[in-house]
Amino acid sequence: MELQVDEINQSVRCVRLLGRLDAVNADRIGVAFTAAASAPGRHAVIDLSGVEFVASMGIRLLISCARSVQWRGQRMAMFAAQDLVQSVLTEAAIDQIIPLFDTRDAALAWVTDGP
Amino acid sequence: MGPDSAWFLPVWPGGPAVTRSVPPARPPRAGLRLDLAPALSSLEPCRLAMDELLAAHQVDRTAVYRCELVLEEVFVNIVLHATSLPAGACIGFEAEVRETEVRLLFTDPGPAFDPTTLPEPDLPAHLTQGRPGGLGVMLVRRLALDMSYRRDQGLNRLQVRVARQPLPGPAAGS
Repeated sequence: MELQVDEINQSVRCVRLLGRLDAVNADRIGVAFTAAASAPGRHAVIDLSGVEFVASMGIRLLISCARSVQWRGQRMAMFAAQDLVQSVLTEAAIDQIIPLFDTRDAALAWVTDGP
Repeated sequence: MGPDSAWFLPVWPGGPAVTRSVPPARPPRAGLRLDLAPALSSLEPCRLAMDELLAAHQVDRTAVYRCELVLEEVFVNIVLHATSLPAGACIGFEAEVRETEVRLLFTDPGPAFDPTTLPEPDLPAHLTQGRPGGLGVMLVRRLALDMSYRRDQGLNRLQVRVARQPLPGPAAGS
């Protein structure tokens, strides 16, 4: 599992996850991912297009990361999940607490302008 | 699964490379059986062996995803409680491909635990609420055909059946 950080502008950072967000990888990248997404003064958009698989431990990581971002007064949204990954996130109703969009532009608009 | 339809694959973290005592035959064998060390490092070689079996039977990608999710959730749950397993105990895993479903069976010698009786978790409505417990079992319940448990000769035996075709409704890939 890899993660890539892209500074979109001075207020938004994009974190791209690549690989399987399973128990082993969630544990492996948890600290780095949370640190990357919850940078002070920056909202976060999470690019899920490279995530092939997500299970409950990966979902827990997404929730704890979003909570960390919110605790800093910022917003976090996800976008471009593959169909099977999206269906698992939907089954777990995580898209109800962390917005999930089809495109990066939509996620950007939400974190920048608010709900 | 009869004895001639299974092949055996011992997997130990940090151990020697995975080897098969019986190579896959043609047509592909219906199932596999593994004895796994109760550690997360057992998960990946187990998944790869299962995926190889499913690929040999041309199981569709939605069912493969669901089988991987069941394997992950059930195995991780057992490993997280591995301190209660007897020393040297293994987790048994069997996968069998049938015409319309894949049957996954997990056995472990830990204290009796029936996940089928767990209540549905209360999913958080806001980030400020606690992280949901029981999420893994809930996902297995929703994405599998069914899940059945019995205690037999000191073993927990959890069987999960996964449809080879997507289920109707809002489930994965449908």
